[in-house]
Amino acid sequence: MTFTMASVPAHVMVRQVGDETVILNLETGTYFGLNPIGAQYWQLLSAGKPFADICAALLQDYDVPYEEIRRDLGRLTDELVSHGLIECQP
Amino acid sequence: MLEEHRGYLGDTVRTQAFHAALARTLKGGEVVADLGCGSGILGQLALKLGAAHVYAIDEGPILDIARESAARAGLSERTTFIRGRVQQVVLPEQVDVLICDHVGYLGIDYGVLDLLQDAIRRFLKPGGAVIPSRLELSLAPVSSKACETLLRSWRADGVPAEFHWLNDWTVNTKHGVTLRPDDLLGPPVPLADLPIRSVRADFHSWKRTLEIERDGSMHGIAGWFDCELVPGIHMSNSPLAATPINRPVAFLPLGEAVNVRAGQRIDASVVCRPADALLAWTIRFPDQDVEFRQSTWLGMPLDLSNIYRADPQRVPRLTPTAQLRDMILGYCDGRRTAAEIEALVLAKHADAFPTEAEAIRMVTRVLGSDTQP
Repeated sequence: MTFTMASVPAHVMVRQVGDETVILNLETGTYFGLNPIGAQYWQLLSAGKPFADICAALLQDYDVPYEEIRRDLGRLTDELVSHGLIECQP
Repeated sequence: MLEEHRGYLGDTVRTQAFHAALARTLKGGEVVADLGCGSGILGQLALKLGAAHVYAIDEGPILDIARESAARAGLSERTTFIRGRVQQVVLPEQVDVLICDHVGYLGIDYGVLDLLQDAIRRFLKPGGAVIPSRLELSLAPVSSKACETLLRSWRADGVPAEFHWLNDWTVNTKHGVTLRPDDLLGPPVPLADLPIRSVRADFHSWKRTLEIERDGSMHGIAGWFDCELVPGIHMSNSPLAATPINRPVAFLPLGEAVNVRAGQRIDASVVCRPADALLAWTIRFPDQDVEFRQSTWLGMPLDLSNIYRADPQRVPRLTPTAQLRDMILGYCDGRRTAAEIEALVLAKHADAFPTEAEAIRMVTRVLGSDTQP
């Protein structure tokens, strides 16, 4: 899934614990962890960046093909949406 | 513990409200369950008003005080004391009335809904009565000296600089404060109307717009309750109540104080998961394009290993302490005495403990907590 804008609902909290980024869904009481790339993606998403801009920003930091970043972040977006952690505008 | 319960007993407004509710409910001869009974005062009131029997349930050592106090009041024979968490207790019979004062600063924040709904399902006869019956919650923007002090408590004079980071935790903590009417920056708004029997207990999420009525420095939002014990009889911790009970309101801080002007509108959301003592509040100032996103989860120590333990796909292994506990309990065969078990542990497992004294302490602790008298 891609988006022009995504937002974090009021029932989702994020916290940095050492090197890990931990997300808590208060409605379900479940936790999720993000690796460093996922954490960077979350930071840019929370700041209101559209999906394409997030991919472009991460492309500068990681030596992987654009299509791979786009595909992986698309899957991550799907997962975060399915767990109620973000809300996307297409 | 004692001071907390002395406070409850000295709160005559609260006691009178419960007395009136019981007087309206009881006809004589009822069986009552006092959930989280504390000192036992509510059960005692019920018996003096004609109830036949009370089951007084509490998981803390305060139950011993309830038991002694009932004996001194001549009520022991009509009271059964049960030590345990209410949701884990099984009663020998169904009851006519449930009574409970597990109402937190924000009403729901100590889990009263789940506690009562579980008791209604398992303890209450069809048609039985529940006290309290309803909670109405309110929210308002606030500014007060006490709130201002809390907002920067870890940066106060005398606190060493290396501890100042804890201020981030204190602004992510729900505080109990006593407020006066002139501490409100604007009129309270209704947050929720919660009938005890039917409302969802495990999760709540509300969004409101707050109006600022006077210029000032806003420190956060405050929430409180109006609790209907039975229709027509209420108790409230509202700063605007004519006779409030002696219970603080819930103060939810901003990350830092914000100057506000009369006529300004603020967006507030409150999310609550009472069973895990989790509260989150987001306060947005559209005029200033400022937003604070706070949560009690951000104001507590977080051990990642506890989160990993909660993964349902994980295969759990006993900790060293659990293995020792398992070993000690394994010697309880219904014939060995405590002294024999202690001797066996010392003879065969001394190497598992740092000292003999610690081995004896652990055996005493495990047999004291995990075996029947």
